[in-house]
Amino acid sequence: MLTFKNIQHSWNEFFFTERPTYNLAIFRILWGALIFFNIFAEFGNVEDFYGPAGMVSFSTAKGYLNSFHFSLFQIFQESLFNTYLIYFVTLISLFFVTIGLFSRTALFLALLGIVSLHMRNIWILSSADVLIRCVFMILVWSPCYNVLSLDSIIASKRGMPLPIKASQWTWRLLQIQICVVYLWTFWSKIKGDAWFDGSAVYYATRLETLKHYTLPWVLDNKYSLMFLTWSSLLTEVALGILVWFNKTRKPVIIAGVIFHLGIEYVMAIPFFEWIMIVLLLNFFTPEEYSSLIMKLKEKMKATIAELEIKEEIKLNLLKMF
Amino acid sequence: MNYLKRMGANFFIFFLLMTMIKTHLPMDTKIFQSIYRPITWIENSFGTDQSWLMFSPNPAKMDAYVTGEVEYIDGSKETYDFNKGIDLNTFEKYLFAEKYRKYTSEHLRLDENEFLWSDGARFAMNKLKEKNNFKIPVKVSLKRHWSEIPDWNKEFIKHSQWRNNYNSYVFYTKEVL
Repeated sequence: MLTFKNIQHSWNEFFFTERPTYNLAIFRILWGALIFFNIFAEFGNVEDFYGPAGMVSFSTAKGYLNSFHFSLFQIFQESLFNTYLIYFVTLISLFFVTIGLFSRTALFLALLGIVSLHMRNIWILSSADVLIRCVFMILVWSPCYNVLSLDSIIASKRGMPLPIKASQWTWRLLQIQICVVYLWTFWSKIKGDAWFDGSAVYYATRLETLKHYTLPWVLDNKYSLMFLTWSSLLTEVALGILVWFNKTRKPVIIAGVIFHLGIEYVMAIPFFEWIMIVLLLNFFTPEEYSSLIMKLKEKMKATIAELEIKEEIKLNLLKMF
Repeated sequence: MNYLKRMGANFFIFFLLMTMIKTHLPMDTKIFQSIYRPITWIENSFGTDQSWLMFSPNPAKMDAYVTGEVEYIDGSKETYDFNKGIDLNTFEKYLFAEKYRKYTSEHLRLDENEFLWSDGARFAMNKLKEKNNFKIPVKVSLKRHWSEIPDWNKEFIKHSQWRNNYNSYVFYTKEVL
């Protein structure tokens, strides 16, 4: 029966059950590294994108975005030095997020840095950049550094180990966020006639400014183009709904990964497909990640035990696991 | 998790769920505008609009880019192509081409973004100045180039085929001297 108590119970169970945090930790490492490279890729163009003599001046950007936003460019004076300062603080924060050192501070600084850079020049941004900000908004509150991080090693050495298990609400929000991206995209697409008549993939792959590698046999046949158009829609709706059910979860994740790798091959949309693939890893359960980590640890222990090295070194190495 | 932390978490969950459904609500009504005022403020502060419109409702059926042309006092002309993706290799496309594409083909070329033109022209001029420091520019202009993808029932373009029929039009000119 649908009572307030039942709803409250289900809500609490869904969001606040305590589970191992290996999933969030692995996500933090992959996400931190990916976004680090995403920002690092801009290194040669920092001046053009964000500098005082860049493609959009400070005053134009300020005039357009006249509402308040959390940007360091609103605090610091406009100069090339400050542009690079914000850029490097963002980059270093992302590195710290990846290795899990001063994680909470690094996560907040990374979010602030990314928002600052993005708001400085919104005319170069894509959906991937919005998604990066949305995910960081969630990640900053998560216990993603409780395991597999330098913070967790330091805390253990100090005799105050961080809890392996924690409330899963941030992980659940990440999952919801991913589904919303797919479902909203699906919803907007079904209003378009090209997605209905099966020609959408044809037009998308003929955009020369986005062309990557060619795939002549598959993308030169009308029937396969129709199949790809409709299967893209099906994959997107499945990634929004079927990914929640245990029986369909893994095949849907695999379909999603193939879908994104396919786009990556034919279209030059940097980082977006990798961002989505890394996000999809959030649909493996914390227990699945825990068992994977345990298996890896056992394997490492067995390998160390077989090594022909001094017993003392061997024991020290084994202690690490 | 203690009571206060859980309260905070619930608050954040509600906030985020509301930003997610916002796209599909009639936001032009007064009631939703007032409910969403604080949420929209936070959303704008972080730039986390949840509209997700990739290739929708239809993928673009037109390629477009912008070039900047500078005329020098000696009568010579030079063109800056804003790192046009078509001419770049995979590595360059990955590093910066997409950002230039977004800027030129989705923003700079549009009439509604007239406020970007002066900066865009200055940027093109400065980029060419890096190569031709000794030349004195007299005029800079921005030119849009576009090519529509033909209807697949009328003319089927193969995936490996490149279209050469780009139209062009000068949409902004600025005297420098």
